[in-house]
Amino acid sequence: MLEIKDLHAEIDGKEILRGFNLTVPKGEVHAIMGPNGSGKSTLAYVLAGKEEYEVTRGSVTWDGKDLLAMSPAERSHAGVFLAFQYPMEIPGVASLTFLRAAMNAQRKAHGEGEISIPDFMRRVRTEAERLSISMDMLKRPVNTGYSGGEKKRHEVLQMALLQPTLCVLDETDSGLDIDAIRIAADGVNRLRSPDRAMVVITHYQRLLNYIVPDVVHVMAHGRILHSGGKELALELEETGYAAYRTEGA
Amino acid sequence: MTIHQTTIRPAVTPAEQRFLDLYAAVSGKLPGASSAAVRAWRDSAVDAFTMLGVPHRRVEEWKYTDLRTLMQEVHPLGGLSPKAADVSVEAAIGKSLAHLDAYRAVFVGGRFRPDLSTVQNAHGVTFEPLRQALEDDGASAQAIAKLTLRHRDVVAALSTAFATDGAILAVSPKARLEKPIHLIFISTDEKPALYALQHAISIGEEAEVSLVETHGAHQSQAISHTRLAIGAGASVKHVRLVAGEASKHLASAAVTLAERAHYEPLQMAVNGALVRAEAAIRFEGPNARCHYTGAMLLRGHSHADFTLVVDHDAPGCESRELVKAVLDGKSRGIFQGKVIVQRGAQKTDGKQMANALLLSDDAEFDSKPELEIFADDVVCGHGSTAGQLDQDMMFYLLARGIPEADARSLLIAAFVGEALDKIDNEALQEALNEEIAAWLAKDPKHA
Repeated sequence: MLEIKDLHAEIDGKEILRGFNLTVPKGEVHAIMGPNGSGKSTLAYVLAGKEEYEVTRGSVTWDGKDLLAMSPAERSHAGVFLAFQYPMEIPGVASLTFLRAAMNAQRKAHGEGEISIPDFMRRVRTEAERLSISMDMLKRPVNTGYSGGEKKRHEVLQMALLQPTLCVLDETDSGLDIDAIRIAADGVNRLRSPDRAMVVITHYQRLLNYIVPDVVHVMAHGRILHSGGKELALELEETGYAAYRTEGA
Repeated sequence: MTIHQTTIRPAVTPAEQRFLDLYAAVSGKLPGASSAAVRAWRDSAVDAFTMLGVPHRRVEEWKYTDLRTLMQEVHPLGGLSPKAADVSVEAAIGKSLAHLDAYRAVFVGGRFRPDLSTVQNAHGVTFEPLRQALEDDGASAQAIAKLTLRHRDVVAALSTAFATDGAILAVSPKARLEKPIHLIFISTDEKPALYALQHAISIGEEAEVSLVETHGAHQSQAISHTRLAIGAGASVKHVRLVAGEASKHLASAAVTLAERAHYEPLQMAVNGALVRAEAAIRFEGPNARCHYTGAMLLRGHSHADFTLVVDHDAPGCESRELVKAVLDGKSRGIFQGKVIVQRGAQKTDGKQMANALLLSDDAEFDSKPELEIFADDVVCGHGSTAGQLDQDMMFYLLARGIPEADARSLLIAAFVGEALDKIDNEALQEALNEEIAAWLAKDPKHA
């Protein structure tokens, strides 16, 4: 279970998260929706451990473990995975090299030996095919020269290969057309399982047509203002975020 | 009024005196000492050296590499004794390079070692050790003695004065060598010595050749000068690797390209107490091309200076320079890139770029581009960047569970790896990647 209590976080002295509370049991998918600037991406980065964000108060535990005390790599080993809104381009590092390094790092952290190259290639091929990713693309440097859709599918590919237990998806739909959203969402849905929790951050409701959440939270001004079922997302699509923009400002 | 040069000769400083004393002590024992022509050749080089002096920071070409401070002693000249030391090439330069499938010319402690070499058997190549040529006092010695020095090239002057050996290599026109020619330079280091070599390489028209030079680690001082003449339409790839923390390596090369010739040098330095690799590349015929790449990986107090003078003296030629420098500790990396476009060299296309990755606050990168353009229809440009590891890229790798040290290594290898991209010999590329990996594995920041 993910438990976030009274989380306050700031960047460059500016407070972004202001008493954020959230509980996501395993097996559930929670959507976090909110207007631009509400702190959604900050939440994602704080969960993954990005250095520039300073947590000033509160706690985050995953499976009872204190995430805030861990380095980004340790969090990853503990099962945390952030699907980036803007995946980094890493020129000079072939995606296959990167994927193997990441998989081996996970295995090492769990006391397993390195994956053999044939096993690795087999797994990558299977998952890539499901996501309509070509092996040629994976021979190219990480995210370099990939289209917007390719970058997002590459994030889902990593998720499928690393099999995290806490998935945080930051605007996985942004910049994608409907077909691309469907492919990415199918990939995410395949990972839904009773021992996996997911936090899906999105500005628009449309992604939630494909990844149907158990709970929808509305976030503004650095905290959750309202929670409800999946129908809340549809309501927001109708009414917009105007009501939340003024509240608490 | 003409002033004779000797009247403005500067006072000889102790730095110069050490070389002059050494020359006085060894000149009678050098190969070719009995030949008047060879002696005159060496004496004139000593005169040139006396004029130039030991370069220091007020000499523009040596602005960042002050030999008066970096080379305060001159070791006894090595390579005079015919005693062949028992050496292992593999131990000296590593397994991958030692076993690179190539025609080898191995020099140990300033002398060619036929017993360790195979270059003699290469088809389409004639090879003669410089020592042999000078001692025979035949036609080749006479030809060598006529070679003139490159202007203001103090390394060439010292190499000429003291050379105990070298490679005289000629590749026949149209020859397509299926394997690289691998020049290997190692030292026995029983006692630190000064090693001086000089090479003359000519590539026949339309020939295709891959040259590899591996300069192994040593405690000594190595001085070398290479003349490389590339014939019309010929294509030459030339990798030079200088490795070793204690190595002191002073090299200069004078390269000429005839029309349509292609030259692709890759100069690489992996640490080094003092590495100076200078190349003067001159386009003598139209439509020739030179793509130079430099790569340096330095830490500790390493110092590497890549200095390049590209002289466009013919129209329609293309020059590209790319330098990738990874600098850690208190190391210092230098790239001086001068491009000259002579009056008749219209349609010249010259670009240079230097990128430095600074891994420590105490490391320093000096990049000095110079353009001297006397033609009006040319495209020339240069750029330089210096930065640290990209923290967003680091975070992306860390967030996937890759430990920090491995993430650093991946990013550093990717940065410098761009320099190795164009090597089409897989075994060679792999061997150079191993050098990079070995350097990364010694990262003090590795847990």
